[in-house]
Amino acid sequence: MSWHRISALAKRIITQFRRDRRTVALILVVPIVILSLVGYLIDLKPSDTAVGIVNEDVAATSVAGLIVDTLEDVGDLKLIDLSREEVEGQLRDGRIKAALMFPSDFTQNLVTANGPTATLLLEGSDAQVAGHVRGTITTAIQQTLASIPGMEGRLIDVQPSFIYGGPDYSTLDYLGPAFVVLIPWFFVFLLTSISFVRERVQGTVERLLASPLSRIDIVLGYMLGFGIFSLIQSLEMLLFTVYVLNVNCEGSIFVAILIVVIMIMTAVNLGILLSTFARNEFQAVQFVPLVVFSQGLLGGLFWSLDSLPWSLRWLSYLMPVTYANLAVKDVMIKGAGILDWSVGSNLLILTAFAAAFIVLSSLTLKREVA
Amino acid sequence: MMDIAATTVVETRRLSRHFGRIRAVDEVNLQVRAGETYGLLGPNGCGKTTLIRLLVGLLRPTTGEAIVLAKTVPNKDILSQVGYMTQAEAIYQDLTVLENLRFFGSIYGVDSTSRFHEVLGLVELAERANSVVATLSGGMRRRVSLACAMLHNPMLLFLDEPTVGVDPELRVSFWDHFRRLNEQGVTIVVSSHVMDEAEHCHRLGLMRNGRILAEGSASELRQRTGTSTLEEAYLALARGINELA
Repeated sequence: MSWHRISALAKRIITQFRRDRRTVALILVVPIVILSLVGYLIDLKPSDTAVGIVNEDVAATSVAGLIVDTLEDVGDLKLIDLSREEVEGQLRDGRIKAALMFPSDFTQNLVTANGPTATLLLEGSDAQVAGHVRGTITTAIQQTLASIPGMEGRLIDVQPSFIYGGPDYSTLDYLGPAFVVLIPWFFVFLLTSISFVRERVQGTVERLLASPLSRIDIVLGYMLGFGIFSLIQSLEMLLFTVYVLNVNCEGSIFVAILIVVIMIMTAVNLGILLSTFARNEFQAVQFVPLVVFSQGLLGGLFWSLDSLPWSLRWLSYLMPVTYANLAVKDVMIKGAGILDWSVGSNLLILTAFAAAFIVLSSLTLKREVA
Repeated sequence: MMDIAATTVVETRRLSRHFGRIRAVDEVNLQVRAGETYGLLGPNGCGKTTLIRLLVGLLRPTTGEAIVLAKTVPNKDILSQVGYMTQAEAIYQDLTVLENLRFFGSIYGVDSTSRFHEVLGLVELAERANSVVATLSGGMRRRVSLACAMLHNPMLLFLDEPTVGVDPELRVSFWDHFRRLNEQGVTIVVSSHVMDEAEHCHRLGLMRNGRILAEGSASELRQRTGTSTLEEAYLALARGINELA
């Protein structure tokens, strides 16, 4: 062992890093960006969640009205007055995330302490939002009762019921769709960008471009090759998630696979696109934080889009993973089909992303020539 | 065959390509005739590879033009008639020799196993057909690369330093093979920085700093400069340019 030789090795590594400014920047900047995002997101509560209020209470001094006043004072929820008939439709459309309903005899029942009172109907596809709405409403009710003489210490039994999901759903049921989307995205992006960088490094791209193959042939060939592998991967993942981990899948597994495969087409082309900016495999890996972590945090996978402030949310809408996640969630949790607007529209946007990236990546192949 | 020999396969007119301030190829005028081997000779960095990439159509000229097989390049239509052996090996390391041939063959519509073995015989790799490329020596890999470039019987072959890392004995057989291709009417543009290889070429373009210093056969160039070796001829020509400047 020789200190001299060991330090020579270490010095060489430091010199190499100093040459590669981008790596140094990445090592120092990316963790801070990610930590601040996580630190910010972790405390984030859903804001402005739309909640329908059905107040049929006929009492002269309505306790229901007082509760609604308190909720309004808290200001966390966006309250919308509805009739009982409108509730279910609005919940299914996603226009409201929950509905709080007071029957006509609400105050009277409260005074006589008789039977069930208010009902809370939750949309339920997002555990975080559901929990937040329940918590806010329970607190508001307690506060209101505490302020009415003679009612202190009274309890109101608010029975929650769920349109989707519900008490049987575990955390895994809610997170399952997120992983079904994020894992193939990660692998396919990484594999394509690395194998394309390899084509560039070993010079085979040059040979392909000097052949009768057109640029679009190359892109489509890559998509087909990786598409087959991603099909196998997403099939395996979905079957494992649903049948081994017993994650609920209300809708068709095949629709979920279709969504993932279209997302993969975007990932393949993004890989080709970004490989232009990497001189070696090492640099290609450095795009992972940018392309994978960022979408994992902001794509609505773990924090619902509704809870993101607009200063971040616009970024989410630029990310293909966001749309794949929304669609897969709707299929797995809500049981939506491909013809449902929520799935169909997101699938269309995803397809548009894939098409745009196909064009962009074939353009970079052209630029490679220069 | 006679009229083919008279035609010009490659012609450039004041062809230039700049990279920023660097003039990698600078006002090059050259003509390559059908069935000849044209050698681009010059030190590393003199613009040989850039010139070849311009002729293949992988780069656009900054100014001037190049006409290859009667088409102004870049042009996709000529590519099925062109073979290009790059300076890098440009073959897939994790495939076998035969798998590489099959892949590049299928791009050109070549799908005959006998053709694959014929080409492998030419580069003396018949026994290694099923070896994974990564396990081959550097010289063998260059031979696979050459095999891939000639697979589809192109009319025009661009070879960028084909003999680097190839041992002397095989080098001789390479040049024999190139001559046979010439006899079949195939035109070859080959670059090299090894002066003694140039004797094998019908005509030479001596390159320096992106320009063609002089053109002619090896013996013509020696005569013109009154030197006995091509190396001396090159140095004499380079000095002449410097004095003019």
